[in-house]
Amino acid sequence: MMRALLLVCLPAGAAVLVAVSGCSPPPKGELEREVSTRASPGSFRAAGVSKVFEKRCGSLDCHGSAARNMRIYSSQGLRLPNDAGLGPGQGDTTLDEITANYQSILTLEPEETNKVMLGGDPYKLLVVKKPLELEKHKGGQTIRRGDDAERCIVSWLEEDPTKPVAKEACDRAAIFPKE
Amino acid sequence: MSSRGRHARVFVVVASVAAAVVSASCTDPVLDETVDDQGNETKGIPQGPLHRAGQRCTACHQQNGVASEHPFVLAGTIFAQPKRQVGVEGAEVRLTDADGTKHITKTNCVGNFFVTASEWEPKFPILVEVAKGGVRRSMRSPIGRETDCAGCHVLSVPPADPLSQVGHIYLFATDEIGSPEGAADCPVDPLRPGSP
Repeated sequence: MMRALLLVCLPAGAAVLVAVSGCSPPPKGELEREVSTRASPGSFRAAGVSKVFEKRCGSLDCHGSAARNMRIYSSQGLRLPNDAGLGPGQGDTTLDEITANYQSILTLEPEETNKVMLGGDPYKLLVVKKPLELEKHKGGQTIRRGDDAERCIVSWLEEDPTKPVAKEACDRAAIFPKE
Repeated sequence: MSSRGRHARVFVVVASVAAAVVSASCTDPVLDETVDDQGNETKGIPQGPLHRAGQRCTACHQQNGVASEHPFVLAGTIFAQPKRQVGVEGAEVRLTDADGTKHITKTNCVGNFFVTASEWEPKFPILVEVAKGGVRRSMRSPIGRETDCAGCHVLSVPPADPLSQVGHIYLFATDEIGSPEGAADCPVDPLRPGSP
């Protein structure tokens, strides 16, 4: 009798535990997942944000170098290892390279980037401060204040459904050097 | 040991440590390695504007370099075409800096060119175009900070790093009309040693 009761109670107890833990908030110390519409990977590629970084930052002697923390891959600069045998100046920038650029930019300073993703000021990030030379940059001022490149990058970092990325600014900024 | 001898010995040790610290703080291992990589001078070509075509000029020709008495702001070599590594004489190297200021310099008979600070002090990034006669080639990306063309434009067959290395700067793509043979009256052979 006791054995039969135990056999019924044990699975029932386990089921209750599973159900309770499924509904309870995450234990203290764990991160809650938050969703942001800012700096989306889709816009990074489709709106041409990657191309702006490639053109403005990714030359072989700057961020198109394996020696840089923020490494930028592009068709005209550093290539990601590839089966097609593409070197600098050959073919187009691949999807893998765009993805690597996205990861490189967003993981440069993760905590600060998280703050911006949650509504913080994009001008606190190195990817904005350095090219504008608001902070010391060995490559100097590669983007001028008010330039299309600044509008493109900042609009991507502030992106939401009512404020899309300034794609036209990105397109113009990617024509560099000017033809 | 007398107290005088002990003092002298302490002095020698301190002086040696100080000298080691000073000498260590004055060397740049990256620069030293870059200079070493250039190798020896080519036999028969004296030091001067015609030497070391295609090599990293500003590894030495910079403020802290071994040729610091002749520092360059920017320097490099223009070659004819991939199958003939011969320097192009009289090619115009047209440079535009971030402020829009322009400077034009010309290559000598081995294809070398160099810009000194008294001629032009550019603000990087710099755009570059090379031209001679009716032929013109432009860089598709700007120079961000490198003062040596050969910092990126390295010729090694096969490339040591195919993912980041680009070959020499060529005015011509192939053996087309106008592709120069090299200056006949050049005091040194403008054909790069080892060229096909």
